Amino acid sequence: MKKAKKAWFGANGRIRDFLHSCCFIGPSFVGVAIFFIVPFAVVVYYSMIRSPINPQFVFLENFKNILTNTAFLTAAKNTATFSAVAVPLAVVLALCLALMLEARIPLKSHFRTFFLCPMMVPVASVVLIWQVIFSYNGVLNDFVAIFGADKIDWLKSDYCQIVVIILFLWKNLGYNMILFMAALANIPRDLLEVAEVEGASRAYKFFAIKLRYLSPTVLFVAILSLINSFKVFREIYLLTGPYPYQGLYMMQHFMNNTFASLDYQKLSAAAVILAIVMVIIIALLFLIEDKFGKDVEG
Amino acid sequence: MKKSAGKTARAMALLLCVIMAVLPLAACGGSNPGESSKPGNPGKNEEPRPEFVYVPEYFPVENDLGLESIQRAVYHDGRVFFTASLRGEEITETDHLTGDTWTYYDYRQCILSCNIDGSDMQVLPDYQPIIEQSEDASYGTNSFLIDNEGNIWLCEFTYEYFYDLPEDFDPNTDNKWNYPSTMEENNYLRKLSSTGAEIERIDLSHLKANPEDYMYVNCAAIDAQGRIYLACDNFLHVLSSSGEKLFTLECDSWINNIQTLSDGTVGVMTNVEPDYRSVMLPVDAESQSFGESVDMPANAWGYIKGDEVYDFYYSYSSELFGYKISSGESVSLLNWIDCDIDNDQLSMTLPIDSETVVCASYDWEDESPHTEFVVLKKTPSTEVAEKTVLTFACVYMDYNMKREIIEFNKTNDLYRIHVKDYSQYNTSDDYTLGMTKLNTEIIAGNAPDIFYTSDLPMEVYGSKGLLENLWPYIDADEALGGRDALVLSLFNALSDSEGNLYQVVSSFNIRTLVGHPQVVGYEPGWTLSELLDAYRTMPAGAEIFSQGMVKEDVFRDCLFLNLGDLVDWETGKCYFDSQQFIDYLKFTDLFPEEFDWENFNYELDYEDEYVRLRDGRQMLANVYFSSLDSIFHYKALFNNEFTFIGYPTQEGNGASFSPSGGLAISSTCKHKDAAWSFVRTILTEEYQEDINYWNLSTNKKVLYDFLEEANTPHYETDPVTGVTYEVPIYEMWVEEGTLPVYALNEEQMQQVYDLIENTDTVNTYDEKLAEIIMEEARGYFSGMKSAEEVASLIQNRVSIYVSEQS
Repeated sequence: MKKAKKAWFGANGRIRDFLHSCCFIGPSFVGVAIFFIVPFAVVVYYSMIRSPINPQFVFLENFKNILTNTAFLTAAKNTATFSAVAVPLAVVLALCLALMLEARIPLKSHFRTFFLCPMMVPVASVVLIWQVIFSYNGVLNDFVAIFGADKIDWLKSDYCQIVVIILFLWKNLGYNMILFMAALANIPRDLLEVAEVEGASRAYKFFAIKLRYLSPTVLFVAILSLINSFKVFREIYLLTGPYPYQGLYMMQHFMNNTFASLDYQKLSAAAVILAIVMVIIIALLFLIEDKFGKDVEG
Repeated sequence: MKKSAGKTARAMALLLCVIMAVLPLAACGGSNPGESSKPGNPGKNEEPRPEFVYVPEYFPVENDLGLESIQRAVYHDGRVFFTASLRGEEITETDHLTGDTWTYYDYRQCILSCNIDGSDMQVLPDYQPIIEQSEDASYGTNSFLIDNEGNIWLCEFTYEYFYDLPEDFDPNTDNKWNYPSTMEENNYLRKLSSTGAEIERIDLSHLKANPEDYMYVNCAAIDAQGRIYLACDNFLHVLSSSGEKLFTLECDSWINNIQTLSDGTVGVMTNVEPDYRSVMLPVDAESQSFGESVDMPANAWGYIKGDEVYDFYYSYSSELFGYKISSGESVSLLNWIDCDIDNDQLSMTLPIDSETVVCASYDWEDESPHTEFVVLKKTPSTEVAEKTVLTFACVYMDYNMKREIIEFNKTNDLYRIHVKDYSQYNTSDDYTLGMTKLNTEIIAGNAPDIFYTSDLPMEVYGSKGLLENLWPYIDADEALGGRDALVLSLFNALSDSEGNLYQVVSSFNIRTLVGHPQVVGYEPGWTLSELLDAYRTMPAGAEIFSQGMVKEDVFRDCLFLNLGDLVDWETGKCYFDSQQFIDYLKFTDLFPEEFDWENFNYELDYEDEYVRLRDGRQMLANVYFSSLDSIFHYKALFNNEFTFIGYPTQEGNGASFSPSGGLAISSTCKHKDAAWSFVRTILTEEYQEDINYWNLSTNKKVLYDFLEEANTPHYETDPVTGVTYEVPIYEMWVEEGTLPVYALNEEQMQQVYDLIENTDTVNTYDEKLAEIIMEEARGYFSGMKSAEEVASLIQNRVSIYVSEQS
């Protein structure tokens, strides 16, 4: 009886604790539900009806239409290409810069400030500078003309993505570098000293020790860079408007434009597809990190 | 102890949770007390019925006084005092030199008073204007006030002309207007008794900085202490009650209005730099300066003196608002259309108190114009007969449409139309906010029942299934006469590729090119290469179009007529890298990139278009065919021989329709037949005969009756010989004098009918498409890129746009 009573009150205690927790987390959960979960559910609903004016259930018809739409496929391809090139570069180059600044080089703090400065520059100013450099009558064309080459309209040519990748890296390397520098500072020194004593090479120390300890940061920086790679739409929009050269036409261009033309079915279907892709990518990243950095997690 | 502390902590935590959960709900807005009296939607199922409405009562004024329009009015002590020009006798005059006679009415300026319903209207017997109106002297009033003691304050201005006539001037054989004259202008502030007798006259010329300056009193006000405030341009002059100047204040810009506020002080409505926003500057008479500025609603105009409830009233669009300075609150009191009043005809609006508004209207276009007083009383909406409401959405309201809506609401027992003008949401920074608001409401399922299609993206709405196909309604409308009653070519051009017609329009014009048959041929329609072949036959140095046409203009005109050949919206393909498009680009080589209008000397450099065409220095003229005058104009330009050759295109006659004044019905409308009963009015003969002065009618009978006038010769009979001869139907002014134009012959009339019946394109301007194309084309116009490069870039960018829409 006593045991049963104890079990009952124990269970009730757990239920009570759970309810107490719900009370505290409730307002946040309600806010998240109202501003994130419910709108996403509405988006999913919109993606499965004919139109808000004629809400006939059409299931996957909107998805079929969008997967055969040239504009959507172009946007998806460009976004995937950009992310596939820019994100690894943002991670690797930032790591290299962090390693370089970790070493004993002169003017280290000046270099750090120099790499961080682009973060403080307003987007409009960045766009203006890029236009001055890369426009048809810009500085770069004046420079190449010295060597007798023809002018290139960089943002309206097949080199357009290179220009935007440079812009993306210039803007984001500093912050990623800081994150890596902080992570490098947290690697236990004694492990490195032991490896040094035991004759490990620099490459071995980096890959076997440093990189394993950096794996959570690499994951974080990769996810952050992936998110920032979508935000590059802002700079592209300011540089080239809502309908740029095809090489710069990104997913968010597609979404913005379909929103403006009241095509909520295409927009919602594209948003759902994008969400699914993002979930898969991030899940993969977590799996890799889990496998690679498991033994160094605290 | 510990247990009770723990309990207290839990209770506090729970309380905090409840507060955090409830706090966001405080952001939910409650009802605005002002809005409970907002009229407009009694009976609409989707919206709550307002508590109060303003119900009009009409009082036509017996016009034995010759009253037309009221100029300025104030309310005092239970009566309305106003200034007006009363129409007197008809006077006939004869020009002693030419023998011409003309008649006019004699008007006299008066001050009148009446009850709020217009009854017991009396002219103030002792009022006399400062000078008598004559051909050499005129006067007017520009402010009218009544102080707390019942004295009338009136600003009057006078103009007198003095001619420098020779001593032997004989008015029977000479005209004084042939001699130099000077004009003397004076401004006075007059204090009058309640019978109009002058108590005091103050010459305001001492307020001028220089005696030669021109002065006009914009507006005036009186404060609680009897000081008089006069606004002249951007200066505010403050006078004592005896007319002595106290001080002057200067504003950044023109003073729009000055009003006595509810606390008895005076506020000045003006605009301030740098963003030219509207503000009210309260005047501190003690310190002789302006107080802190108060931001005013950007859309306010027509300020009216306030009362104990509101500091002042103002109008915007079709609504009357009350404004409280202390809270910055604008409260919509009534919607004129919902009160069945056309506020464009109002010459007086006086809120008497919070329950009553008195106004006077004068319908200039009525067959027998007369003044009508309207008293609007605030009434519980439960006492007003309920009707089903149809919502009408527009971005800026058309004047003729407003009249039709008011007429519909007055005469229909079951339905009434409530207007929502989305232009009220636009700001000076963003003029698209109204459209965004409308689109948001449509997507939220709150689409209006009827659209006024001007400035709305009808193609987008149609493609999204938002609009009703109107052909079945037209075909079933026997009273209208079905499709045969309409200009079918226009409505066929307006229909989409599946034959759905989403809007009906009341008027249109046609855009095309006109040339001489000997140059361009007799048959309408040609390709670009045929145009160039014709141009090669012109004398050296001749231009194709009129002075000032530049590359961008020509390219835009040619391009948008041919978009059908370059874009296939169904398949999502476009052909801007085709030779046809490259040819249009290269065609612009014949035109300058820019025209220096800034340094253009109209006296020396301007060339009359008639002379250019006659002398073979210009090949084509741009036509906007919207009236008979346009036909006569080009008949004269081309010496009675012309061909509506059109813009170069692969197919068709090269002309395009520009429709206007359209209506559409939403597919979600629950009362489509009722909506059609209103929409159809714009297609009727009665409506189109009244409104289409500057455009062509879409009702076929109205249009063809109108065009017949061009085919009807005018004759006069010589009073001496008795011979009847044809006289010009039109006279065109050219550099060398006037050109007489006679009625069109049958062949020319057939050209006009063929133009209307064979045009099959609507002049639609896709802004986004135009932006992409013109942005790239400028690279070719400036010589930076080749035509092929530009065509390739345009193809690249436009392909994305077109495939997005498919």
